[in-house]
Amino acid sequence: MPSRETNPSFMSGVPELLLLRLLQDNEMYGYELVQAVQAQTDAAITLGEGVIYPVLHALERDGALTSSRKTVNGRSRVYYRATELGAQRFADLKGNWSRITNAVSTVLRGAEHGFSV
Amino acid sequence: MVFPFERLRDRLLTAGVSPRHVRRYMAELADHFDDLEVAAKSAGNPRPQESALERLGSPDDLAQAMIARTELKAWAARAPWAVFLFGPPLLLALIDVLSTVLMISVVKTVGLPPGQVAPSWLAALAAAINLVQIYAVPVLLGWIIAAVATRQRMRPLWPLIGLVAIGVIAGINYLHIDVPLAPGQHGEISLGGSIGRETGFRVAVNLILTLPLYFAWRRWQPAFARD
Repeated sequence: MPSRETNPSFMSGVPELLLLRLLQDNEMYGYELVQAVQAQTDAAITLGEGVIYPVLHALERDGALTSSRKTVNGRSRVYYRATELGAQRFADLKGNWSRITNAVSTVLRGAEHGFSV
Repeated sequence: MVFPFERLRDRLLTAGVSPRHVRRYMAELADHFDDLEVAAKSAGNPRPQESALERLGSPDDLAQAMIARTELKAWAARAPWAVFLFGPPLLLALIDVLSTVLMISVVKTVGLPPGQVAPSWLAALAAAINLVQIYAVPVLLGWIIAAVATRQRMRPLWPLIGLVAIGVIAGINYLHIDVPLAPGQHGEISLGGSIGRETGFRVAVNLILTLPLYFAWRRWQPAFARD
């Protein structure tokens, strides 16, 4: 079982990025989302399962997501889906994330080749 | 082992999280817990509930994640002065205006000529509006303050300020509709503030019908009863 420890400051914004990506194509409920994140990241990223709901509520409040209650197999659940605004927010976050990872990669490549600060 | 949902609910409400978000969060956590328990049982875990609790997160983590989202806080927590002090008098003023507009519209629709006696139903309507305006509206506004404050597990300072303020303001507020009850009389709508013999009585009635109820609700509220 993977460790449930995360680095909160480094992981800041990552749950939002992942949730917006997953909700671009499908509407999903909380448990499904957590399972999808674990499956798609090969369990490298393990979200605190219950704490995704405040992120989802905040995204919905900002208009990035919509929610609807549906009953499936006798269970009533809240399904979330990304809106146009959510797609735009995802694109912005993805751009920021790419810039950061490229910058970090550049530094790490420099360190491998004897780069010193 | 059972997840302490009630404690978490009280903690979130006391911290000012909007009741709407708290209700949905609790429902989603309960569903998530059930899913985790089913998954643990399917995987042959001998202690499915403990496993589900661990994966769901500690009550502290779950509370902090929600409380940290300031945008999910209720207006009663973000701006209690607006909700409890200014909100009810504004609502009272709005009800005054709506009552006046309603009465003017009815009289215009009926087309009552000056000096003519009002039909009995119009006199009854005017009397009902006067009675509701004097006794029902202030008490209703006070009950709304009490309900909002109790639901949000508010400390009593702002709710009490609001209850006293609306009790006094509604006692001073004056809206009275007169319709002609005898030939030659004229109708009149009086709106404004009035301090007279009745004011003290009206303020006392407002406070007597709202303050004890607020304290009773507060006392019966499980979150406060546990303190």
